[in-house]
This record gives sequence, structure tokens and C-alpha cells, in this order.
Amino acid sequence: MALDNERARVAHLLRRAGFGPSEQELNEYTQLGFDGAVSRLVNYETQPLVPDRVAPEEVGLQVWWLDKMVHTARPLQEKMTLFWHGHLTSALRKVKDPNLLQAQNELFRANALGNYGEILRAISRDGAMIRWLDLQTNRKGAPNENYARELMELFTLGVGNYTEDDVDEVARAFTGWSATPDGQFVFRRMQHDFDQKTILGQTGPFDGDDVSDMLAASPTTARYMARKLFRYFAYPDPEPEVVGRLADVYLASSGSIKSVVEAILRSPEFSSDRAYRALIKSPTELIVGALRTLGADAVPPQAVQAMRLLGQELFNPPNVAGWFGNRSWINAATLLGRFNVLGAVAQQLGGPVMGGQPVTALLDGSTTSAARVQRVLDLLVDGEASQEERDALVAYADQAKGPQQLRGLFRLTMALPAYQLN
Amino acid sequence: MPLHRRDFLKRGVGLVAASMVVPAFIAETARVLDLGPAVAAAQIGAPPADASRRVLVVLLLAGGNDGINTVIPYGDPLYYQARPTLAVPREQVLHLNDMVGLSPALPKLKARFDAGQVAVVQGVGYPNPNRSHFRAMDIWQTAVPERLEQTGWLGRYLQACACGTDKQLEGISMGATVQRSFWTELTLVPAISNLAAFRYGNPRANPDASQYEVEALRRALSQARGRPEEEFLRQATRTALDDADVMEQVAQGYQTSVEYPMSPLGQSLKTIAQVIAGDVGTRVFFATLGGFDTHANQPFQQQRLLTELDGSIEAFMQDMERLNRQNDVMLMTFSEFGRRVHQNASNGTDHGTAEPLFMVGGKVQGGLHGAYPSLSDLDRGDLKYTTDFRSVYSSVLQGWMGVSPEQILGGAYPTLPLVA
Repeated sequence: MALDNERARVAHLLRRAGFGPSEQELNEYTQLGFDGAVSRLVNYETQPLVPDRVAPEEVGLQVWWLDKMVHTARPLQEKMTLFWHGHLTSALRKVKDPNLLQAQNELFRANALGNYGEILRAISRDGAMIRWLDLQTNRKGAPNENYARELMELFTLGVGNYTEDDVDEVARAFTGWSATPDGQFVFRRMQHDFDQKTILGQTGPFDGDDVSDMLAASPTTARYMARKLFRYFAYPDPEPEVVGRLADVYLASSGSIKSVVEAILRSPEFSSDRAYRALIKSPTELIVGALRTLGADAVPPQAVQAMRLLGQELFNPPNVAGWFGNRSWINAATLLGRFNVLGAVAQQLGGPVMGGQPVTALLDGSTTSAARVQRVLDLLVDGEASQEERDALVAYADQAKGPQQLRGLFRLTMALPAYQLN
Repeated sequence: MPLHRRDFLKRGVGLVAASMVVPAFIAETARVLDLGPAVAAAQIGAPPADASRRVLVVLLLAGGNDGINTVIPYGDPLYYQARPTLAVPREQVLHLNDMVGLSPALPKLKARFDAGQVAVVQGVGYPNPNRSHFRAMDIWQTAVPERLEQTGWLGRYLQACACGTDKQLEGISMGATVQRSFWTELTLVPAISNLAAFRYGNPRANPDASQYEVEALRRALSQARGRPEEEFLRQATRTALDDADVMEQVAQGYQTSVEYPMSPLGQSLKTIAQVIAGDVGTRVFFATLGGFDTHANQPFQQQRLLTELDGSIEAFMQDMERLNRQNDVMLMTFSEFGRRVHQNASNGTDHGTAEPLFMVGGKVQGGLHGAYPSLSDLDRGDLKYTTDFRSVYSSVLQGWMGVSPEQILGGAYPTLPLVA
């Protein structure tokens, strides 16, 4: 079995709770042991915050964020920021103002493992979200239910766990939740409906914060979030008892996302054979992972076009539900696109983008084809490959020459199913 | 000579056993439905004899096309009252009858209408129309207005029909990203911008290296895997490499005397024509023409777009006639919504509701279908729809694609006679 040694388990952990390690990072985390590695990841504030190396107004929001992911010393913080972006979505094409999306991104980063009730309160005041789900048009006597509906359908309870009346009443509670033209939250008293509302069977003069608290405390939300987080980190179809166990952790901690995520990472299911190579890398995980593992110095500007072609434009999720994930990433065009994007990255090996270290430095002294293949497999896929994969790579290495040999081996190995999986 | 995909696979990639190219999701579909593919196909009804060569081209007019200035109710004085500066003068309208006519930017479409090859479905919409681009687009592409649905109607069609083993190329979404209409968990419809980029490696930079790598990759992926996602990716990768080979042949085998507009839509339709000429078994294509969100200074912008639409469709149909495939194609337009009856203060129109759809093809039942919505009986300033869009989808699925639409659309809708 693949997760039978500490190093492989830690590598698995760093792919899931981060974007895949460089060799040096993997060495460091392995020395901590799996449990110590989890502790360092979830207590990320003990690690330094890497200052921005590029400015969003110069390189665009996407490259700015990708660069953070590549260089962060707090991989789980960025991984959770990505989770929130796909969960509490907003998209630039409607919000228009990149400053608001950047502020939302910082909100997610600051609360990456925060308390869910507080996150819900904060997102209902977020300038990008207010525009994305039309909260600023939600007024007493003329409610806009967009936020209310998605709050329950996608952010907390899940479809089927509330009524149309609940939607109407939650919309009333959020009347007056608005923003200035530059996206600062304002509560417009004149537009707020101060009357009684009945929501999920409870009656009171609720406002938006009351609703956020009520929904965050719901056992239905606990199960919904437990399931969604488990799917993000472990595998797609968690057993009901696993979801129940994690929902209990959520409720006992009053909605601590940190507690739930830590419980997932330390669970036997996370390190089980079923979890190994069970998730398909998102385009973000694929590109950031390759750049981290190969020691890239900078995110190439072509990454923007690549992300679009591979189906994940950051700050522009396809709709309120975020990205489908897993098998939906894959079709003939995106697969060929993945190979070509990774191929272009591999082609930079030995060049300035990769820090200028010679290609041979990655070889660690290996000279024979078989040793070089093993070396690349170790770096990219836990050293685990099938016999025909190995044979094909060795045969390729035998007939390829010079720096192209190693670039080709990296390209081919990154095209293997094992590398496309997390 | 048209190149058939399966023949090509046997000839060109002969070392691949037939069972190897059956994508995983076929088995998946059968497993999920707990049916063999044959049983699934039988359940939705046997397609007409010639249906296997039938192609549907869905063309999205993105942004919300002003249907009222596309299919113009010039016989109604209310039209001229509602649009003092936007209305097209009656003598410029290309009359279809004494009440409605086409925009003067659509002369070629008008000629095809006169030849009986264009169906105009009037007043298409749905209850409680949504005026948000995003939500309305989801509604049209999923065909589910009532709730948030992830899967698209064309994806569900491809999944349900289980038409053959070459499922991956049975739908092609033109452009950078796969349109929502094709989304399902199990179909693998690719998004193709241009055929030259649909391949492994960079042949111009290093043709030999790419070829060596493709061979190595095929060899590395010859054996089945135990882990489900690894096996899924193994098969998807093999299929992608095969598809790239097929598409390379398709591109090499196509030459046309028809001049397509150099516009993105013209080039998309030209690529679609190439694939149809290659006869690789693609059933559904999706192409997009964007820019219809004409809140301000509408006339110039809409005229430019409709002219592009007119020229592109005409070139495509001429190419189909050249290939003698004009009776095998149906091209259908739609937009996420129509626009308001009354013009706004910026010489434009705001988001509206019901809209006209065009169906073009050699076997389309030409003429006007459905009723033009009243310009006086409005819903908050917008047209009330007269034909549910799911009726149009049903008509296409049943009349053209030869499948029973109920399971795909989650209900029965009255059909229109859109196929001759």
C-alpha cells in the first residue's frame, strides 16, 4: 500500500493540506513526523507570513494569488483561502471592482481556519458578496432574495433543508445590508425591516447577524460543512458515520473550522488507501504544485491563459456554486492542455524562471536511465509507478539526450495519471 | 473521402484494441443507471434511421439579444411608440408576413427563410423569468428554471443516448471553456478553440520530441489500473491522444471554397464544418457570439453582430451544401433573455424576457412558429412568453435527435413541428 511509510504520508498530507511540497519542504515536514506536520500546518500562524512579491495592480489578481500559493510558508492557509473562494463565491465579471475581490480574498485568508458563524457575519458585510448576490437591492417592501437563497442552499443547509417561506423571511432579515459605491458595508436603517420574522421555526425580530448565527449553529449546517470539507481534503463520498463524527466536532467547537479540518487530517480515513490518489488536481493545484516542486522563482504570466484553458479562472468561478471539481476538470482538451502547460513549465527547467539551477542539479547524481527515472518518480509521484510506466520512461530516457532527456522525463511523468491526482 | 473515427482508429492506431477506447464513463453510465447501454438506448426510443448522421449546432447569442429588433413586429404601431429612435422603419424591415419581419442586417437568413430552411420560433421563454445574465444563462443551459441545477441539457442528452463508444467527441464546445449545457459528471465534452492547439506538445518547436513522448505515454498507459481515478485518467488520456490524432487528420483532410467571415464566430463555424466533414461522429456543437448586452447605443452594435451572424450562418450552410450535409444539420440560436419593449434613455434596451429563436437547416420546417407576444399585455414592461423554451428543446430532442425528451428535461412539454 502506498501510504505505508511516513514520508509518503507526509507528502500526501502536503498535497491535500497545501499545494504539494518542494523536496526540501518534504524533508523538513517528514522530520516532524505526520502528527507534527499536521500541527505545523493547522497552527500556521507560527510560520512566517511571506510578504507579497508582486503587486496585484501590476500582474493582476490571479498571478498575485498564485504567487502567494507558490511561495507561502503556510500552505494550509492558502489552501483554505481557495476553499472559501469556491464555497462563498464571488466573481469579477459581475462585481467588476478587483479591489473588492482582493479584499474578499484577504478576508478568507484572515479567517482561513476561523469560526464559521463569524465568517458568515463577515461575508454578509463583504463588498464583493453584496454586489455578487445583489444584497444592496434588498430593501424593506422590495426584497431581493438572491443572498438569502444561496446562503441556505449553498453556504449552510443545502437544498431541501429550508422552505420558500424561509427564503422570504431570511431576505427580510437582511434588508438594509448594503454598501457604499466603493464597497464599504453600510446598514441602511430606513431600508431594514424591523418586524418579526419566522425562520426555520423560530420567531423574532431577526436581522442578518441573527440569521448568520442561527444558520452557523444548525446541526444541518454542521453536517453540510463537515461533508464539504472532507470531500475537499480526503475523498468524494464520505461514509455517513464519518460525516456524523466531524459534524459533532463542528458543534462541540461552536463552528470552529480549525477543529474540523484538524480532525479530518488526523482521521484514519484521511490516511487510508481509499484516500490515496482519490482526488483529481484542480488546475490551481496542478500549476502551483508543479511550480513549487520544480522550485520556480516566479509565476509565469502565461499562467493566466493556462488557468482559463484548464477551466479554473480564479476570481471568476463559473457560478454561485463554484467549481464542480474532480472528474469535471477532465476532457480531451483540458487533458492535452494540462500536459502542454506542464510541458512548458518543464521546458523552463534550467532557465531563470526556475531559479537558474542547472537541470542536472535535480538529478542528485543519478546517471543511468533507470536511476534517473526513479529520481523523477520520487520527486513527482512518491516513487510509485506501475511496471509499464517505468519501462516506458526508461525506454524514453535511453533514446533521449542532454537536458531534453530530463525535461522530457518530467513532462511525461507529469502527464501520468498519478501526477494528475492529489 | 470522409474519415470515420472508428475506421481511423482501426487503421491509424491499430495497436489499440477496441475495448481500450471505450471510455470509462460508458461503463459508469450503465452502472449508475444499472442498465447496459443498449437497454438505456432502448428506453429512450429508437432514433430515426438517418439520425446517426444528424448534427445539432447550438449557437448562443450571449449578452441578451434584442429579439424585438431581430424579429420585428413592424405591423404593430405599439412597436414604433415604444421605440421612438430604435425602431427599424417599416420599409427597411425584411417582411416575413404583414406583421413581422427580420432585421435588415439578416438578408441572407431572409433568403433561406424564403427557401423554407429557417424556422422562427416566437416568444420563447419560461415562467418567472430571471433578468440576471448569470442566472438566466444557467437556466437556459440547464433547462431547469426552478432550482440550481449543475448538469446541462445537452450533457444529459449525451449521457442518456449513450449513442456509441466515441462519446468524448460526441459533443464539442467551441471556445476556451466547456459550456454549461454540456456539464455532467460523466460526459467528457472538450472545449476546442482551434484544432491546431488540440494536440500533445508543440509540433512546430519540436515535432520529433513530441512524437517520441506520445509513443512513450501510450506505452506507459497500456495496462488497466486498480484505483478508480487513476483508471479514469488513464482511459481519458488515451482517448485524448486518439482524439488529437483524429482531429489532426480532420484538419488535414479539409479544404473549402467557401469564404467564412474572419470573425470568431465565422472561424468557429468553419472549425465545426471541418469536424462535420471529417465525419467523426460528433452529434452536438456549441458556438458563441457575444456582445448583445446593448444597454446603450444599440443600433450600431446590434447591426454589426447580426451581420456577423448572418454571414457566418450563410457560409456554414453553403459549406454544408458543398459537402451535401445540409439535410443533416440543424443550427439553433438562443440568448439568455430578450430585451425590454420600451427603449431606455441611452438609445439602448435593458434586460427583458421572451425572445425569438432561429432554427436553420435543410430539413427544418421553415416558417413562423408560436405566437408573437403582445406588445400591450406586458409583465412589468416585458413580453409574456408564448412558447416554453423546454418545448423547443423537446422538439429538437424528439424531432431531430430522435430521443424521448422527458427524462432529459425532467418533464413532458408540448412539441412544435420544427423538422420537415
